[in-house]
Amino acid sequence: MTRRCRTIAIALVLIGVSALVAGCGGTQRSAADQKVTVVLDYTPNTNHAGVYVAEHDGVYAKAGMDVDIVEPDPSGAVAQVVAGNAQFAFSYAEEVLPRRAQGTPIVSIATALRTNTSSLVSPIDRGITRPRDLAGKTYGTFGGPIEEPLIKALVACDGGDPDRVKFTEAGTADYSVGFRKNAYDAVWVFDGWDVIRMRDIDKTPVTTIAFRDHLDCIPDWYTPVIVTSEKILRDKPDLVRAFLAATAEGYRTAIRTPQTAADALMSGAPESDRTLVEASARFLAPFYASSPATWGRQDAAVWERFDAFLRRAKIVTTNSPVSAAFTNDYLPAP
Amino acid sequence: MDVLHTVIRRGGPPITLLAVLLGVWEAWIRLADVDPSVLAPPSRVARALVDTSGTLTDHAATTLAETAIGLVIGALVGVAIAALVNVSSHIRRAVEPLLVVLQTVPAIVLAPVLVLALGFGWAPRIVVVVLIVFFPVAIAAAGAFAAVDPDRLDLVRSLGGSRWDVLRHVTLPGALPGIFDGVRISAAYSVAGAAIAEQIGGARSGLGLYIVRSQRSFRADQVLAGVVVIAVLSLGIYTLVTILARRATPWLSHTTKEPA
Repeated sequence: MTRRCRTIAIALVLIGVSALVAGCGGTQRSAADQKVTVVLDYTPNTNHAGVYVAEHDGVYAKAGMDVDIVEPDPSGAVAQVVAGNAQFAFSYAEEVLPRRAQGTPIVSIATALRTNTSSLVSPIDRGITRPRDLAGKTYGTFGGPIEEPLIKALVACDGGDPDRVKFTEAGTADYSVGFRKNAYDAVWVFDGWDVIRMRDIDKTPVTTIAFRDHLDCIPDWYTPVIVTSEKILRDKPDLVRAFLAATAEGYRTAIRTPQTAADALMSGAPESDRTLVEASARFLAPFYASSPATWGRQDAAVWERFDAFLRRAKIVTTNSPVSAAFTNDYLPAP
Repeated sequence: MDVLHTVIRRGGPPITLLAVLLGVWEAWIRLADVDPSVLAPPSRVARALVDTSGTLTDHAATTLAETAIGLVIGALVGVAIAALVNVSSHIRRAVEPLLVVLQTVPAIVLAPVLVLALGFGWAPRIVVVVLIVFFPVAIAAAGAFAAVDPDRLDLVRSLGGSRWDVLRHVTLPGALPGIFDGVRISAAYSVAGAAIAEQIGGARSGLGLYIVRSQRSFRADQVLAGVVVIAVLSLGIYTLVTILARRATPWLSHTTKEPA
């Protein structure tokens, strides 16, 4: 019996060891490198292009950083920064301001895109070509508090009746399927990902209402942004500067040569669809920044107008100054 | 020849059934003109398996490692709890309800909390596998411990055997078949448990991550390719545990009854 027990024990240990060997085949890095963890807001996509270029081209490594790019868990990227598991995270203005209002000490240190590239997308047969067409139609929400006030503001501003827009839960299923099943007529997506996929890859006839075309009615805002904690800004300002300098270099490359950005992203997340990633990288290139040198800069007026909108919609209710929610001070000089 | 014969006899029926099901699936998608981005036909899934085989191998290694470590730890924890419960009925009454309560909290709900508390290393995903694995083992092992022949216990005790002797020579060997029944049940879904934990827990690699990324890239074929690999790994681990169980309990006759 003893021998048998030992055989089992050895077998168990062998399974465990072989598992460790199988899983721990990572590359060895210099111990002097500073470990940096950045949490994405979503599955890797072209919004994150600069980070993937900087990682792939060794810009981070050259700056002495060993950067780990992690996808988010349901507690969210910001929570991981606050918990100290990561130094940087991708977030968006509509998360930063309400979170700060609740006392979460995060600060936006760069915007990945110079303007909001979100759109409402709908199949062409629904006849939604301008905001007021949404009256009497169904909008599929993903549960964000900003959706209803924003859609209603768009519709009202275009002369439609905002109270005639119906709202239904879109869930996490593929939007194309939801459209086909007539579960809803319009959803809110990123132009650079979902719209390209539906319109350019699946060749589905769709119409879009781009938020950036209606800035007379609704505010612009920065999405996504890179955030860190107030504590890291205080304790490790040099790390923040080094990270942003390298990241900015990555985004500048993405602006100049979208193909490089697509290749870097495909190398970091090879499960992605190459056709989609390449088309998306070309689409987004002019949206990362108005000029390569100014990548990441945030305009105070954009933050203020968006903050005012969130306060009118009662999404931000406490007295937290918008000026403390973002900073350009750690970006490389243009 | 005997081996070949056995393989054909055992493998034949499930493989035939699988082939028929795949054929029906492929035909239905083609005839009913189902959008392949909704449900990919088997031929596209096979293509995806081949096209992303390098990536899939890396992810599978991660998932397999998490599963193996979690399964071993979970089984040991399950047996340890069962042994503890077996010591006295007081402990049993104290521990059992708590175990059941713990089991009603889905590991999936715990995963985000685990990631926040344990960080982005391997720990959160292995803990999820352990949580999934230990319960069936603990229940099966507790039952097996309780069912050990009391006459044998008395015999060893009357011969001057210590508590440890009793455990080593009577209780453990007597309970081993029951314990392995529990491990087999756990093994069957431990891979899926690890993959689900990867989808939730900020993983850097793993089949769960492969599936999420494929989904977000609208690649239904790759999603199913990931599922296929999970199924194959599950079958592999289940078979391995079954073989291990036979090796560990050679005194039992493991003949499979089959109609001639």
